[in-house]
Amino acid sequence: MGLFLIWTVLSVRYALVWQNEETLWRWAVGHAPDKPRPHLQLAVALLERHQWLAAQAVLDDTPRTLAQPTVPAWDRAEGTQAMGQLRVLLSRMAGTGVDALARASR
Amino acid sequence: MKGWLLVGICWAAVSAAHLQTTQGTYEDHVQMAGFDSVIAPAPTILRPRGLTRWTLWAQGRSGTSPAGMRLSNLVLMTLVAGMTGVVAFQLGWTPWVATGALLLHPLATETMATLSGRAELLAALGVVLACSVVLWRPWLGTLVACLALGLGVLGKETAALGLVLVPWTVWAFRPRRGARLACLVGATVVALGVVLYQHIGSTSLIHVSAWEWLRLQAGASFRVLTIAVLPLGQTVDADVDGFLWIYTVGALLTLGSLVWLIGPLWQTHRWIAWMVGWVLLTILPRLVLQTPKSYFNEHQFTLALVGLALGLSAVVSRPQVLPCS
Repeated sequence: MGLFLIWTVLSVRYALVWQNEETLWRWAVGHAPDKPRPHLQLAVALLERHQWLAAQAVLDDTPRTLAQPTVPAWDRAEGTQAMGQLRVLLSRMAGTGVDALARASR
Repeated sequence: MKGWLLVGICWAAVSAAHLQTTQGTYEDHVQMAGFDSVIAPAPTILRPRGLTRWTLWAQGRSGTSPAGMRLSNLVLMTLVAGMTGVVAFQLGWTPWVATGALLLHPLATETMATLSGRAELLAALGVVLACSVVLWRPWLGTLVACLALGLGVLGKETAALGLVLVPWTVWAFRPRRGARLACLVGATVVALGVVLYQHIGSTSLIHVSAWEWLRLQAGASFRVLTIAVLPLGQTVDADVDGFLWIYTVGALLTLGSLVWLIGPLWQTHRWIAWMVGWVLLTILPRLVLQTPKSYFNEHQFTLALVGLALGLSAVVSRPQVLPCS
């Protein structure tokens, strides 16, 4: 019975990690800090939530993960491409967001 | 009764945590965003995973609420765990332990949180249903079991493992004429299926030698197996590429040793041999089938978890039941 109680606590904690994309990929980055894919997924989640600065910080850290010797060549190629696309997306979305704020303040 | 009450309360807590979801996550999110394209033009149940797609289509007609998606998986998991409890009862073991272990183990979290998990749950439901009916009635049960496995395969191809797992269970605990032969035939069919499916996911971009691939997949599988014993370090995307070489080779050797252990244990501790065999039968095909862009993950352990849950219920019931010891 004690085992079930411990499992319940661990399951509740991990189920809450799956609450949304940001919590999920923040957790994944914490567990695989040198892997590119969790970083890119976290950047996407942050972009969707319009958290430009946080997304920028994650994308700034991504080249370090892509340079890891353990990353397979295909993963590096796809990751580099995705990172480039996300940077373009970030600049467009952030720009739109800044414009909207400026219009609202006028 | 106390055991069932505890499982009920704990399951309510876990379910409540799952229903806190504010948006679809991981594959759920992507699938739901492009829901029409996922199910278009019309769902068919005449191909593998057709049943999974059909459940999504049926659910999509009443909206794509993330909590609704999660609730469907919770209901399916309750069914699978309930049936696992029935199998434990049929084997003379403690049913609430088997049901509770499956519902509450942290490794079941990813299964309940993703659409891939939905497919695994449908497949597992087919297998445990097949196991139960065969244990209930040998001949009539076999016919119904074929139907159950067929439905399971429409959830996900994983259910085809039932062709080995069901006779494996019968052979271990209800020794009948033909059980061993059925197990061998099932294993041959599954092995042929593995050979036929191994090309899936291969692309010209990815060059991985067979040895490298086997080593890394063994490392990934062993990671999940250790989490089953000590549920710490769970994550949706583990850095398997970064695993130390010695860990992955050690993982491969350990999996091989477990295969070797089944023989001696079969005579002295059959339920342990059965459990180890069940888990390995669900894991080992993955070392070959897994696509070169995806490592063995936690939701893929669902069917193995059924075996572990049953094994745990056997441990608790040990004074009463120790077949062939």
